Amino acid sequence: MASPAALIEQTTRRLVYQSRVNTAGFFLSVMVLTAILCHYLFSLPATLVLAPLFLLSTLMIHCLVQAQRVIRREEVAALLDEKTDGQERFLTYATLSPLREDEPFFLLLQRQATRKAATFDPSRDVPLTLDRRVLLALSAAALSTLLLFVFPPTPIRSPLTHQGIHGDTETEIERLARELMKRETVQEQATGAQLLALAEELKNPLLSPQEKQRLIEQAQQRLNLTLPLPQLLSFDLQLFASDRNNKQGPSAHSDQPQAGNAPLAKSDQPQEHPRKSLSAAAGKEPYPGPPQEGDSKESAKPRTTGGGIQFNLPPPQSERKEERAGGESTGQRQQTSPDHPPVWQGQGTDPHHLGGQQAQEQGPDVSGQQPQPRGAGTTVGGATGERFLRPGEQPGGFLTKDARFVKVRVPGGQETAAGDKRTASHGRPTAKTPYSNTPLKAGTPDQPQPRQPVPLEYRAILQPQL
Amino acid sequence: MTPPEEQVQEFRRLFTAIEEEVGRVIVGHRDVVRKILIAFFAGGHVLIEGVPGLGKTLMVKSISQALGLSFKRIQFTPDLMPSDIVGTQILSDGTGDRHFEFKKGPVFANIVLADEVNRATPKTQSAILEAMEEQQVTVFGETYTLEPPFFVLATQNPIEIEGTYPLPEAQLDRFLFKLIVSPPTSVELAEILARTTTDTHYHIKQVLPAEHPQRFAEAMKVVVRQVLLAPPLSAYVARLIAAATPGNPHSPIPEVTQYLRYGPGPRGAQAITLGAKVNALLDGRVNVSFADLLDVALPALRHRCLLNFQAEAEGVTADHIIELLLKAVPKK
Repeated sequence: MASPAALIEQTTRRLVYQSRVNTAGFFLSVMVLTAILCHYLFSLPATLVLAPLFLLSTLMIHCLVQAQRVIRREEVAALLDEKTDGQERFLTYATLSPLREDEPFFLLLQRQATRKAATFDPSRDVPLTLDRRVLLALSAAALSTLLLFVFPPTPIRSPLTHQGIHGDTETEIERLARELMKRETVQEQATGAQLLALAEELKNPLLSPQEKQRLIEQAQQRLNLTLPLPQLLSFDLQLFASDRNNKQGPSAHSDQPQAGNAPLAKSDQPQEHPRKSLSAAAGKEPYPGPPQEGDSKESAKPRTTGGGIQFNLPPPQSERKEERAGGESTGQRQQTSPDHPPVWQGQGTDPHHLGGQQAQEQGPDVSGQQPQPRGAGTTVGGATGERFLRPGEQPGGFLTKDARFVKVRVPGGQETAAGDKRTASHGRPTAKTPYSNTPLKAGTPDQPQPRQPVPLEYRAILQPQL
Repeated sequence: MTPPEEQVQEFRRLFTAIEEEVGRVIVGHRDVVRKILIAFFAGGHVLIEGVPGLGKTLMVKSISQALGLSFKRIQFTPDLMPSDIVGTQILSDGTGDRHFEFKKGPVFANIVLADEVNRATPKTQSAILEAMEEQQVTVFGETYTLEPPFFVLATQNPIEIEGTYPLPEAQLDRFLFKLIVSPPTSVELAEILARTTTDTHYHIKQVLPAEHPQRFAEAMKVVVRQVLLAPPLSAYVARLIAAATPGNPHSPIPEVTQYLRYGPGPRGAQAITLGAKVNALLDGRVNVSFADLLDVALPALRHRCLLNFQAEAEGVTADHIIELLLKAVPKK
């Protein structure tokens, strides 16, 4: 026959165990829910998902430790009184046992409580039950897990999520890497191997879009430093094309046809943005600077390449159209197709980079040499003066949309007097370009202001005068 | 020394025997009789309120006979003097040597029935109320101790208010319980008729031992005081008393502040505890339970909760407020 003290101790252990089971069940359910919400729905990176999990686990351990202290002896005794109809015998015993154990009435109380304790079995009369909150948390965790498998969630983009990283970025990089590895040069193959490793690394599902973006940028920087200029530019352009293709949706493609693979197919519109974003950022290519006099006219002429570097002429326009009709960009095909291998006449040149290179090397302000026409095979073809345009400038002039510019046409008389050589005026300084793009001062009204309305009481007086 | 089990059993046996013996004369009112006996063994006094003709005097007389203790009855009237209660000094000339001799009043008895105590003047009331509290009387500067046990049963008529002197609050507090004697039911009334309108008369037997009933009664009181009270239960009693105090912001019910003028004091808590201990012994336990406390809370607190004018105007009783308190005050 168990004594009241032993029974209270057994019941306390049972209640502590039950409390710990409830605590663990509740916190584990909440942790599962948190992980699902953070990782799958909000696409938070693994480090940010681990933070609340760590906090919850710490709190759970704290609660598990505190369970022993939370359950007091008096509460257990009151529970025993309730279960055994003890009429506060166990409560009186538990509260007075250290003080009045030698009193005869206390001994009688102990005997009475022992008789009551004989009818009580903690494992039987205190069944393991789960609290309502634990049941709710378990149900929610199970339901969310089930829903996760039945309906794969669409990630709710958090502010931290980078918009440009998608699943096909890795595929594109992998494809480029495999193509590079087919090249003959060892350096290109090494670059391809690095890209392949990068693609494999990007396939890691635990990586967040931010981390993927960071890895891509690191790889770009690494490749920019290691690759020679032609490979760098070709890789730059293709990687940027794939990146832009991923960053922009179908609507973006329709709005900006130069993005994606399309610009590479247009040999007559060389890529201005890729150079600025990647190569120029890497410090490999200086900005071509303002267009010099006669650029627009001389761009159509064959130019002499400096330093003995020779360039191939671009294919005829008809061939380029056929290539575009083939469904693949010309630029890519020129780079990748074994039928049209790129012909590099000199180290450090690129068909799409000719303009910039040429401007750097052959500009009259830089080299001081006047461009001399050379024979076929020594001139630049499709890379006309568009690459020398300023940002925002188009062949027809500057973009005026949402810009505070005015377009001023030079008076016809002066233009006529200037003839083809507008700079050769009659001793007066005249504009070198047909258009002026002087920006307006801030606050200059574009349109005449509406007239100030005349107040009603003055209209009768002022109307005759007006 | 008697083992505690035997003490508890003996207490239960005697108490039950007294109840049964009184029940042979008094029809119904079993709860009133029990509460009177509880107050007796707890060492308190009882104020009984009821209309005339309900057997209050007979009930008290029967209890005293069953206990085998001395019994005196004092009919309180407006011209009753304190000396009529406590006694007075008289000039004695029996042996030629004149001297003052103290003549004991009716208060010198084990059980005193103060019938219609509210009809005497406050000066007279205070005489017996002093005896209740101090268990002694002082006459002409000389103090006389009352022989224990000293038990006062006071009655008052709730309907004849004219020409009465309601007991002051301080004197009401000296009664352990205030019991309400309700009119008998029809069944009980029929039984009363059968017992009182025939030639059969029942003589109550003394339950306590005839040699020293006073000593035996005092021993039973000692047993009562040895009953164990757990601290959580005494804390509950304290919470109950605090909750019944007007102006207490922690009172669980607003009716306390709304309808009560004064609340119970420490004597209320003592009354509940002592009554609960007797209840525990009657149940064969040596520890107090919550049920024991709740059983005696109403008679112990109803005369200590003084209603204000609003409560009397709206017909709110102290019993109603106490019942609300017992439901509202948490046990843990």
